[in-house]
Amino acid sequence: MNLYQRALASIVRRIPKTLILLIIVLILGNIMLSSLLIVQSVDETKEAMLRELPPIVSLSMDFQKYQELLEDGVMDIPWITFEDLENIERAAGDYIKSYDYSMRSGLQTDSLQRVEQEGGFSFSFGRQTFNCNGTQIPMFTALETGDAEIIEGRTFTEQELEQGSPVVIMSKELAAENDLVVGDTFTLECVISTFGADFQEIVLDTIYYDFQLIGIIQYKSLPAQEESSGGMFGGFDLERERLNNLILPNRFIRDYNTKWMEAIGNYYGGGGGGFQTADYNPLSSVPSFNYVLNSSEQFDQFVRLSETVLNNELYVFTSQEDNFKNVAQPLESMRGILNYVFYITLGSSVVVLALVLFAFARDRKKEIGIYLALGERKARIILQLIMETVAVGLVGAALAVTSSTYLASVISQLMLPAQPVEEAPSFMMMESVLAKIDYASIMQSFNIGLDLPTIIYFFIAIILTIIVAQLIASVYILRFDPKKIMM
Amino acid sequence: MAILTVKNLSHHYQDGDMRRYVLKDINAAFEQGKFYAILGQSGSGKTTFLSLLGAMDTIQEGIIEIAGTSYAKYDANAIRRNLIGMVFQSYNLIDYMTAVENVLVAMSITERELPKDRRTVAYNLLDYLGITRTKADRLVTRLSGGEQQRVAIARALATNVDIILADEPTGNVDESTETEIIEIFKMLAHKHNKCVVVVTHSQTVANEADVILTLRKGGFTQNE
Repeated sequence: MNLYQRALASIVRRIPKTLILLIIVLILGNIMLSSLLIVQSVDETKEAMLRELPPIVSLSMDFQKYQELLEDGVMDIPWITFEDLENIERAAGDYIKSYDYSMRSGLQTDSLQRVEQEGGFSFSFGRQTFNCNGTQIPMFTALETGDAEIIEGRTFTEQELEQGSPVVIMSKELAAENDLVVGDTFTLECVISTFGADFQEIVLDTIYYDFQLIGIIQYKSLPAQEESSGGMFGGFDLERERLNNLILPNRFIRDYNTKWMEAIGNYYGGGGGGFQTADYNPLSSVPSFNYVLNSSEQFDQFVRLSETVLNNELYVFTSQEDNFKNVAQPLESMRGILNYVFYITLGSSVVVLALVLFAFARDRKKEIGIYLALGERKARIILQLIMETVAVGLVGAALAVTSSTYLASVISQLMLPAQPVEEAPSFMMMESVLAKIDYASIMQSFNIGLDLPTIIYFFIAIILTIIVAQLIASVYILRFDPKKIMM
Repeated sequence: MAILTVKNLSHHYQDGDMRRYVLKDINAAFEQGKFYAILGQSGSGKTTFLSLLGAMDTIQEGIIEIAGTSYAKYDANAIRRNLIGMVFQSYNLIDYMTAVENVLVAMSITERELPKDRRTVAYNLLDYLGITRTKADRLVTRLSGGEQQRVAIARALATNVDIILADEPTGNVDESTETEIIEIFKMLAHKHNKCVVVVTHSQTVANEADVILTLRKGGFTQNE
């Protein structure tokens, strides 16, 4: 009748107490494991989705802060400078695979026809208006992220980018709308205008550009938008606007914007209206600077190093993970709550089990007194009790493993809305190259499943909880005096 | 030669600022092959004396030696584990175990050299004390009081110790069982050369003992 046999006899012959302990462990185990499973599943979903996305960190303007500056009447906006970009490249260049930013402008012309879709409307002011998106590198961000692919022609050469050549890449829809093929040249009559006091248009300048179409791209579909929003961001049809984009070298856009500033500046009398061409920062039109990193595990290091050299609170770094958290807010909230539930249950389990085992020890006072009277060491008695509770706990934990997956599914269904709470999309979101995750695809990827590390972690947590609870309850046993019990 | 020697043993309980001695300068010697009965009125210190002999209480003053070695040189648990067997009034058996398992528990705790086939030894020991194989495999709660006390005696003997201490071993049994228990103790002393020390109220037990020690006012008077 060694220690193990004694423990086994106690378990199988004191059935009511064994069952009580088993049920308690089963209940606590179910709560703990289902919480753990949901937390793990959210993490795995996030990891899986982030793995599939390109490792991009976006440095974007915080539009809320920008608004605050404007409201405060601050005219000297601290735009990102070329020096800032060079400093980031110097400090965190080891992590950067490539980086790009897109200077923006708009061209008013009647020389091209916009792609219009049913129910859409253009932003023209009597003329066709086209957004110009600049690029700094041949493998510009849309190509790097896989949002677009060149289906005809080529991308820019380094020389074209450097010189700001009038070469353009456009969508296949826009090319088809204007009967253009790769290699065609076409002249754009671009009008620079403003409004007078009577809201009549005043044409300030007209510039003629001879463009060459060097590449045609096809965009990947954007994530499906809700019926209610009609596929638009505040009335701005992202899909249609994208088809009408002209992709040009940044240098070209910079030169055009400078001409625009000069025309406006001249009209308002050399700075009258707040326009100062000398103060013009070409990067002020860039909504975000996109850094493609070597791997998604380098986000933290890259951001940490970059922030040490970028002393500009108007701009913030955003990673795919931030974007995931933003879209998967309900999942993240559930994860946060259940993470607390896990640790609270873990702590409560120690208290509950310690009290139950304390009650059991009181009930076994005579038996323990007999062991002590026979000369058994208290440490071995406690070891026997630990073996008993751990054995029962393992059975309870094993049963919890079988039932917790179902429980976790039920909990997650109860806690997660079918659709996230709609938030008005910001301009920042619209422009972000990171905004490629939608709630529906996250929910499709979200599956409650057991894996070996989770099971092992759970069993270790249960065993440690039981051992700690038994040790706490055993403080009572240490005070046992065999004489008082036996004689 | 005495296997158990008590020298100037005193024991007191603290009563406020007062020390109330229940045992005062006791000297005694217990030999193997003899059956000792310790008598005394309630509160005379019998049970305290036995608990000191059984290393279940701390010696305050004086010395107890076992085979010439002071208890102070041993760990109290080790004395109970390896040198002394105890029998209690209320049997004190583990109720969810069978008779043979109760005996085996003691055999698993001791550090003394025991035969490898302990279960057989336990069955034989129980059989020797009148517990058949069938009864040995029963839960102790399904045995009579007398049978339970025999199991308790078997457990005390299981570690093959030379000293058996018993606290009112016949206190809970009827007269015929009392006689049988007394016979067992006599047999253990006389046939198996054990030193048997029994604390009792029973004159019947005392009458069968080789030596009667009566505790009065903290000290012994002896009758052979």
